[in-house]
Amino acid sequence: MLTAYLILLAALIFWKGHYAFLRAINSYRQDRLHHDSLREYLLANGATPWQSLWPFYRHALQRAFLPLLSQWRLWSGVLLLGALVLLLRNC
Amino acid sequence: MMLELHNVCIGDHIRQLSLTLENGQIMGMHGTGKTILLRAVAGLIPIDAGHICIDGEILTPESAPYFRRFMAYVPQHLSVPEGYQQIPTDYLSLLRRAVTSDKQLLLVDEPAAPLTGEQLQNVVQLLTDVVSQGRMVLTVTNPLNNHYLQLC
Repeated sequence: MLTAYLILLAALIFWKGHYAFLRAINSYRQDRLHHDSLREYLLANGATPWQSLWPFYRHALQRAFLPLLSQWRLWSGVLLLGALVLLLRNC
Repeated sequence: MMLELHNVCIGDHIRQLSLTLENGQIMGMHGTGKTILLRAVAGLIPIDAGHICIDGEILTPESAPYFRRFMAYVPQHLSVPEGYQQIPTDYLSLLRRAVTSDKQLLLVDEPAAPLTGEQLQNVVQLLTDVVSQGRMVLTVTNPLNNHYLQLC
C-alpha cells in the first residue's frame, strides 16, 4: 500500500511539476517578448545580466508555483492519505 | 568624463557619425537612428564600424558593463511584467530617477507619447539641473532641442 501511495505521489508531483515548468517557460518567453524594454533599462542603468533578468525569473516562478499553492485542498488530501497509509501500515 | 564617437556606423540608420561630449554639456539630436545610437552608447547593441570612446577607453561588449555604472538611461517607454512595481513606467518618473542617480552620463530618449507644456518644462528643468551639476546629457528628445541648445 505504501508503494502504491509513493507511486501515486510521484506521479502527482511529476504531473503538476510538468505543468508548472511549462507555465514558467511560457511566462518567461512571453515576458521577454513583450517586456524586454525592462531588461534593457536595467542593464543600461548598471545592473548585471542576472539582475536584469531576475524580474522575469521571479514572475515565471510566481506563475509556475502560485497555482500549486492555491490547490491546497489537493495537497492536504495527499498528506492525509499519506498519514492514513502510514497508520494502516503500522497497525 | 568625455564621450567620443568616431565614424560610427550602425546598419542603414547611422553612417559615419562623429561627435564629442564633455561634462556639463548637453547634446540634442534629430534624424533617424536616434534610439539606436543611444542603445549603442549604452552598449546594448553592437556597432558595425567606427568606435565609441568614454574617457579615452573604447566601448566594447566586454567593457560596456563597467561603463554602464556611470550611465543612466531613460528609454522611450518601459513595459514591465504584471505585478512588477519596483520601477515606475512613466517617462517623467524615469527621468527623475536618472537625474537623482548621480550618474555622470544621461542617455535620454524621447518619450513615446507627446508631453504637455508643463511636462516639457519639467523635463527642461530637470536636464538644466543635470547640466548645471557638471554632468553630461545625450538626448534625442526632438521637441526639446531648441531648449537644449539654449542651455549649452
